[in-house]
Amino acid sequence: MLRRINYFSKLKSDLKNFNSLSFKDEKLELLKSKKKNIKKEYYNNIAKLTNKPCKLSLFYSIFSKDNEEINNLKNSYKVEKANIQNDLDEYKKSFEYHKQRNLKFRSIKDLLRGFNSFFFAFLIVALLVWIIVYIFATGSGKLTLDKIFGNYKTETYSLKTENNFALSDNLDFSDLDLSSPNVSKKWGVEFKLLSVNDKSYVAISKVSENSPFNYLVNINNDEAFDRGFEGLYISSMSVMDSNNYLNIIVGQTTVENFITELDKGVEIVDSTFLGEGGGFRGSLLNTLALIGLSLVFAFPLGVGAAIYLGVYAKETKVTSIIRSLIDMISGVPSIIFGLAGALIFIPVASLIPGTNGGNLLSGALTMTMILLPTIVKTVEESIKVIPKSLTQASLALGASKTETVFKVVLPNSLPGILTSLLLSIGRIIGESAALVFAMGTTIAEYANMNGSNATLAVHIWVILGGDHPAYDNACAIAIIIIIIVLILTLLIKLIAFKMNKFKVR
Amino acid sequence: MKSNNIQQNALKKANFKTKIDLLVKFIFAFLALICACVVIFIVIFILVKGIQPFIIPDGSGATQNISDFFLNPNWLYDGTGGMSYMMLATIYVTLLSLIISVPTSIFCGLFIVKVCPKSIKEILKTGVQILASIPSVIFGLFGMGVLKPIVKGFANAVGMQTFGGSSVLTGVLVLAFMTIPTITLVSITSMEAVDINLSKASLALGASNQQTNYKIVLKASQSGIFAGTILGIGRALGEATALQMVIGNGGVGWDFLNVFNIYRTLTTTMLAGIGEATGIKYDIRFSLGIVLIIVIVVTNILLNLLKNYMTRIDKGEPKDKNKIGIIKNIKIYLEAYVHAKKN
Amino acid sequence: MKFSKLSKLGALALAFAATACSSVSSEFDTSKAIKLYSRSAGSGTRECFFEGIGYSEVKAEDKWESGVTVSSVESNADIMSNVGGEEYAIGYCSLDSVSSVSTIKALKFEGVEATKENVLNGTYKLKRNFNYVLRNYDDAADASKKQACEGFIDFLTNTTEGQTVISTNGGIISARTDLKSFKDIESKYAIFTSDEQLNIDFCGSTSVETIIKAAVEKLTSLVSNKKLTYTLNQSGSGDAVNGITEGKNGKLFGIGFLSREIKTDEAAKLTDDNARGSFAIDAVVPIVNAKNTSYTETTAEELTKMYKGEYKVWSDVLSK
Repeated sequence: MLRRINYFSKLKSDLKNFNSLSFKDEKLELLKSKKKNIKKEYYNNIAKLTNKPCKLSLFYSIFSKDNEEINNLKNSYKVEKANIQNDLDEYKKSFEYHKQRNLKFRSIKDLLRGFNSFFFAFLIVALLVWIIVYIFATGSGKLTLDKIFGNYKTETYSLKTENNFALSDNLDFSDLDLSSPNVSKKWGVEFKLLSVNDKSYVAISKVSENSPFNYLVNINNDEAFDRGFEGLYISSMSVMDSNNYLNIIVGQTTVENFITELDKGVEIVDSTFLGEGGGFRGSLLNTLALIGLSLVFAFPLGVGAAIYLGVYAKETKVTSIIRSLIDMISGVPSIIFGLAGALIFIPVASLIPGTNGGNLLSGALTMTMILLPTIVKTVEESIKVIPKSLTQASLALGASKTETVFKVVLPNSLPGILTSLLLSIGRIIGESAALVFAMGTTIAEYANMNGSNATLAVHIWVILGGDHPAYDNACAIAIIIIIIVLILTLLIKLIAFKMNKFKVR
Repeated sequence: MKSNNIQQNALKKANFKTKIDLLVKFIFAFLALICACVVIFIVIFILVKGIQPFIIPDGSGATQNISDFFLNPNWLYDGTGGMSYMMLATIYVTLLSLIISVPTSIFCGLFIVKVCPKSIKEILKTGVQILASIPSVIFGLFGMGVLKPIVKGFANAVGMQTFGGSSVLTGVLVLAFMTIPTITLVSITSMEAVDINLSKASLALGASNQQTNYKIVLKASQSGIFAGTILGIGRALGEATALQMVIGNGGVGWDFLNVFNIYRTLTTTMLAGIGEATGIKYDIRFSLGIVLIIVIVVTNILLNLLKNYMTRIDKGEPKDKNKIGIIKNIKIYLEAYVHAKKN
Repeated sequence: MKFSKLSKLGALALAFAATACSSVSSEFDTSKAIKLYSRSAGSGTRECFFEGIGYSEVKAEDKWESGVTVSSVESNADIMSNVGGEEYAIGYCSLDSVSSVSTIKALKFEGVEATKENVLNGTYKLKRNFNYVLRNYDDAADASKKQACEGFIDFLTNTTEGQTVISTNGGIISARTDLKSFKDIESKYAIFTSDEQLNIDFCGSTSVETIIKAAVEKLTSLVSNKKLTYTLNQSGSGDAVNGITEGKNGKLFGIGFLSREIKTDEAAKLTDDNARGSFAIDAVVPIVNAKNTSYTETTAEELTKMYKGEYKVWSDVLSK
């Protein structure tokens, strides 16, 4: 409480200094007001003498050169004016005046400086907010649970009417609104338009209970189709009419046109129903698998190197060379890692049978290279922070160095290890350029060891330059990435906060 | 007898533990050595593969022309073409983005450390850290969706034309947005490390708060800010995905000087057309990789030399007053010459 | 109080900037330069287009005239979205993708509009065949792979379902009467009814991607072997023959698709065992932005001059 009170008083005094652009130089104000007063008095006196209003009296004073009193007044006014002017000039040469003037300019400059830094900080915060709001706004329309857990490929159903099907004429379709133009009175189905990838297709919105559309079968195995028409649209439908003429209707048309064509036929020979697809469950699973595998490789290497540098190594030239080499890794751009990974690790990856190009193993090994400097630096920092007395006490009690490392050093550097874990996960999720080369760009349905699959970030890059300009889907994936990154950053801050609490200052 | 036994057992155990100590130490040292060798392996492999197109004849019996690789102003996408203008474009784009990002980061850092109330300081810092950990693909998305129309409108207002918003300017903006959080975080750290007594002394001498901030704190942390700039340059030079989405892919020769033209950089050329690349088109990317590594190494060396020069001044080493610099020497000679001519 | 004052100033400044930048003139200014777009080298669409307008020097390499800037994009979707986003742009894309995007419009070429009928009766000249070429699988070792590839091509070219898929997705085929149904050919390929897990990779042109993707979906819904999958790895017609003979980055492909004819040096790499043929015709359409309302038809000469840089601004072209 006390601190806050002090801060507020300081803020008030700061505000007083900052807010007043008009810096009051009192002596200057006094002299200037004196000047004004003298002038006013002069005019008033002349007005009194000539008994005319103030402004006309000046004219009179010019024309009445003989009037002594007026001349006296004029002379005295001139003398007083010259005096005041003298005082002013002297004051302006004085130190006081310059000091006050500098203070005034400094307050203006300080306000500008304050505004400057505030403006740029505001820009950066605005940028962050803008990015997050934009991505959420564009992508949230497309982010459904279906997408997260759904297939990328569209579901396809090829349906037809049963064998020996005959369309009866007097079926009861009263549960539909038969007057609407979107209803086929012959088949008892209501249609609608569905917009997929900027094109609009005909889709089924409601099927009457007595409609033959309830009894459609799959073409390949004659099994009944009981999935329902929710989320599917019609790509094409082939109907045969009573003259055995096959009419192929394209689904990308108006509902009225579709119904007209459909009503001409008596039997559906073939139809293609498509689901929307576009899910990214495969990329999500691949990302998780990549995180797991690369941490399996990177952690022993990184923690081992950090233990060596922190515990065993003496400050020789060799150690400093090793340190600077590991630091140099962080300066290499990620696309070079991709090239090198493609060169070195793809032959290694083809040890797994069925691999064509990159696979999960080559991607994990490439990510190991990228993660090493992060892990080594963070863990080494946290090892250095352990007070020497702890390790020395353990050695004094008779434990070997190995036991000290595994039982004293590692548990005490747990916050650093956790931080490096979270930083690595963040890095893997965001890595795209290296994985394009080293792992591949095929969008898969599940994670498998021998496919050159795409992770989330690579998925975004692929669909932006591929089949349809699927901008909304890309933003949906970006939402997931941003949420994960947010959670990771907050977790890291939490660990750092806890580490500081327990630190001995 | 019994005590002898216990002693012998203890000795055996101690010997065993020592041997294990040695083994474990070797294992850890070996792991550290592997980590250190990663860079060397990367550079060697890429060097070997990148030089191959110029030395080993390919299927039709010809090698790539190395002078063409250096001098041709056009990149022909079939594996031939010159890279020197692309290298210059990479450096140009990075420099322009630095002009935008360095002042922003410095002033933002100053705000967070000195000017803002303590209650929102942590929130702002967390905000900058979140911005730093956003992956570059999302910056590319943002650039495509938001920056392109803005730049297009701006170009229309100025009277220039862009390729639907893709231009060098958009690329510069995206790079600046990506390097700002890195430089800000490092400058925050270095500004917090400035000795509080320096600012207190300056306040005691009559300077206002903001004067202290600008003239003392910024000056004292300038080496840290410079280190942050080096990190930012490293990130900007190596950026590929985000830049490729916004900078367009085209342009010949000196076109990149006009910021509303499209162009390509080394990294975007390596990434663009990755789907279509086989044979020489794929291998030439490794040669571009060599060029990129050389650019980054040279930039780092130059910047580190500059940083050493600046910190040398910080540490208070006086300039040698008896030595006159070369430029001053030349000036003196010129003045003497002119004077002699007059008389 | 200081921060609220400053933040008000800041908000004002931003609002001003936002309004200034969002005011884009909506009129088509004919004095603006023509922005040229093209597919990147190696694309079959590009070859067909430049061959058709008579500017064959650039059909496979970026040998543009000096002073001409052409933006190269990766795929059909890219060029459509780029031309749709830039009012003064001109480009080209494949016919099957152009009809549904509202921001671009197709131009008539030499007075003929690009429709299926005009392509089939030969009056529209900018057309090419979609071709396929099969990998020469070893009969003994890769029997099921060979069956999967040959079965796919059989489905695509000889069955009603396959031809329906092609025509629904924008491919142009002439009406035939000798089509079978899928049930008739299913028995010839054991892989369609067995339980074997198999994945075949396709490579080649991106222009065929819509049709082949739909065909793959249709075929996998018709066969009973649910473990049979086909993966598309389209990257440009230039990779088709290489992909099935040498492979790419260690990956071997089963069928290569081209949106142009097989060149002589590519044909030299193939043997008689590599089955090949054509399954659809496609047209390449010159496109401009929908806001470019006054430009409705073009000729080969105009297009050549635009891509050579002789027409620099829109008024040069529109005044003819």
